[in-house]
Amino acid sequence: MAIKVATKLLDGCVLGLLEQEEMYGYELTKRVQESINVSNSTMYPVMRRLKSEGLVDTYDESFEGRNRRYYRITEAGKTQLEEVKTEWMTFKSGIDDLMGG
Amino acid sequence: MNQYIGELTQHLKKLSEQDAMDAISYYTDYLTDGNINTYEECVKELGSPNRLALQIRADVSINNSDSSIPQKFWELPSIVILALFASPLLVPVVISLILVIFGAVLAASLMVLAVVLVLILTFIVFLCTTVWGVTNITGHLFESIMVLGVALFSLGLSMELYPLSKWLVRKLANWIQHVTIWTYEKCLRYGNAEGRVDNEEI
Repeated sequence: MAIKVATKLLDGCVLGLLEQEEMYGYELTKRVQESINVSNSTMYPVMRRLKSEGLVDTYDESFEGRNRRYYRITEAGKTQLEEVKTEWMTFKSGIDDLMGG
Repeated sequence: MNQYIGELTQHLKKLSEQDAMDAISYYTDYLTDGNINTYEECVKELGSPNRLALQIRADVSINNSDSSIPQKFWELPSIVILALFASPLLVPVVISLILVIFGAVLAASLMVLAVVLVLILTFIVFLCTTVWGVTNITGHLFESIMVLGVALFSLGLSMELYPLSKWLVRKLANWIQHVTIWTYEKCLRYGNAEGRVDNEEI
């Protein structure tokens, strides 16, 4: 049985990755998939929503004769990331206490 | 890849130009960056263009449903039902979820139908009583006055019922959107985000 990752946590994961470096869509999907199981088409709706909420923004950079779209975290995104991190730590330590982790 | 993107574009025609362009440019980038060239490779990576388009449309509809963009109330349930069919969920699960949405739509429709019937009936009562009251006013004065009273009462009632039924339709449409969005959020959006399992990607 696999544990479902809540939307807010997935948002946090993406924001955490983008805080380390700016990424393009394909790269981002593959990086998330290194740690959690998301389908290849999961990330577009996530990025679309994060962008509309102003937590990330995009810019185009030319690469091999075409424009490649990069995502980067905004200040609002950084604040949100801190919030998710705090909530996750509280949740995690609660579960650890109960399970004896 | 061009064929895949072409088909995706066709399936996204019902979206606004901006939403469709965003999605198409994202997936064009995605496939180019992933060096995914043949049609078969594209399908293996992202599923069929039709399925991907349904997922995008369902997501856009859900996220725009809070805004002021007017939407016919059956549009959202129908897109979500199609997206459920296209999803990798088990068939019995899909069927029960569709029954939930269908049940909500059916219940709402029946309620609206009942109110509309009552509305029509009251209006018919108004018409009949008026005609009878007016035509018999000379012969049966008191009965006519009483019947005309009933006529006025039913007219008043139908005038009350009309805004009430409009309000009810709006409420129910709203409620159907909520049931649909709930189903979508529980089952489709990030439904595949789980702790990592090293099996084949869906």
